[in-house]
Parts: sequence; C-alpha cells; structure tokens
Amino acid sequence: MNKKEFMKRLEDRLRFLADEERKDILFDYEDHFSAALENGESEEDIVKSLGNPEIIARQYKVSRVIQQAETNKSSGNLLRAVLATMGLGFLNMVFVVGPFFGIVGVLIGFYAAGFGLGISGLAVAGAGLIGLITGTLGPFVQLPVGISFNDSYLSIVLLSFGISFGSIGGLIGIGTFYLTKVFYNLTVKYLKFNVKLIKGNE
Amino acid sequence: MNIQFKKGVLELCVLSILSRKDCYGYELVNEISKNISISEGTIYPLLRRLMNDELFTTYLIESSEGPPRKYYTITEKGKLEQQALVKEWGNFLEGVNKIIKGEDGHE
Repeated sequence: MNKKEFMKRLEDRLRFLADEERKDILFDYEDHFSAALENGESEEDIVKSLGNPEIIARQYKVSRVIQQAETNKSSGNLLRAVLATMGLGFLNMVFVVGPFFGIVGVLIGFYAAGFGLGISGLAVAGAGLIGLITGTLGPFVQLPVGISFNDSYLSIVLLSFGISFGSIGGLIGIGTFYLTKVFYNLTVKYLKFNVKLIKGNE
Repeated sequence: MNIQFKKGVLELCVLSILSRKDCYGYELVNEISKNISISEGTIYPLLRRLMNDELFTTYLIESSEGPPRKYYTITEKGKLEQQALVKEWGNFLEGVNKIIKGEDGHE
C-alpha cells in the first residue's frame, strides 16, 4: 500500500464524520507523512508503521460514538457505542458484552415484575371495587369451601391488597427507571475506560 | 492471544513527553515508538481524544517548505493528569514487582 492508497482508505472509512472533523484528522496524517518523508523514511515504511487504516478509522468511530451516547442520551446511541467498542477487538468484546447484556436483562426483569404487579394489583383492586359497588363479588372470586366472608369485607380486603400491589408495582417501575439512568451513565464511563485500557487486535 | 494493555500507558507516555516540551505529531510518535512497539497510526486517535478532554491544545507553526505544522502543547489540566498517572503507574509497578519477587510487604 502506498500513501495515496492509505489516505484514500482512511478517508473512505471516515465518511461518517462531519467534513470539518474528517479534514482535520486527514491533515494529521498528511502532516505525519510529510515529516516522516523529510526525515528520510520511505513511503512504504511509513505506511507499514502506521498500520491498518481500517483499524485506525474504527478508533475514531468509537470515540465519536461514545461521545454521542454521552451528549445525546438514548438507547440507540448507547447500543451503538457498546457495539462499536465491542468491535475493537476480542477482549473489548468479552469485557463488554457479558456485563452489558446481563444488566439489560436484569432491568427488563425488574420492569416486567413491576408491570406484572401493577397489572395484577389493578385487577384485584378492580374486583374489590366492583364488589363494593355492586354489593357482591359473585362471579369474580371463588372462595375455598368452608370459608365464608362478608362480601363487603372481602371487597375492602381485595381493594386494599390491589392498591398495595399496584403501588408496589408502580414503585418498582419508578425505581427501575432511575436505575436505568444510572446504568446508562455507568455504561458510558465503562466504555471509555475499556477503550482506554485494552488495545484492539492488530 | 496476545494481551496488550498498552493503551492506558500510552496516555501517560504522551503526557510525559509533552510535559517536557511541545511536539509536533511525527515527533511524538517517534519518541514513543522508539521505546515501545506500537501501531503508530493509533496514536493520532488517542491524541484527538485527549485533546477533547482538554489535556492539551494545538497551535500551528508556518513552515518554509510546505504546509504549516501542528504542534501539541500541554495544559494545566494535562499536567495534573500526568502527575496523577505517574503516581498510579508507580504504585502499579511497585505492586507487580512485589508479586514477582514474592515479597509479602514485610522487610
């Protein structure tokens, strides 16, 4: 590969960047080439020492994408940042994929639990409310044989439990929401640390 | 599988060199690759990232034969970061040496 080829490949891979930034980056490498040539190095040697332009471009991409996740908080941006970081190399993938998707799974579980409790709570409270209003629980509640409750007493019990479950479900949902925010910020920090620490494959 | 954790150390190297004098890109790359074997091209993304973190700034110097040359100069924040990293590195070295020699910390 000669200089022209190297610069072309680099430029192609940097298309995702704004013109200004891309020009700035390419200028760094032009500068490097001119200084190295002045120093007596051969074009071939320079290109060899610089390494693979695809890998270089990937590093810029990761920095950019992590930056976007930081400034524009969204699940899409975070996922892009995670995937880009994983793409840096095997170790990056190993140290990112497990924890990230593990925690996402846990969060989904919490949301599901909160939602489930909320819905059941609403259903139970609903039955209780109907019992209070209509004076009978009738078709909604089947009691085990031998137990009899005053219908309105039971309605109140159902209503209370229902509201409690529903509230707990709601609290879990809200709590998990805040947990998600914390997780987002921690993930961005971890990605930056990961990029800083582990060298991608040659 | 070749495990290389050089990147964390590269930041320390770049900052240390710049804390002694301003350098242009090629100069920096050379200083580093003289002593550690790295993929030189990946130093520039690192420089860009550190610059975004405001650890140094750049200025251009006109050159008589060709385009202006970009020089890197360290900031106060960069100097502080460098000192912190040197300390961390020292602790790390100490720890590793202890393990290698098999000391348990008691003289």
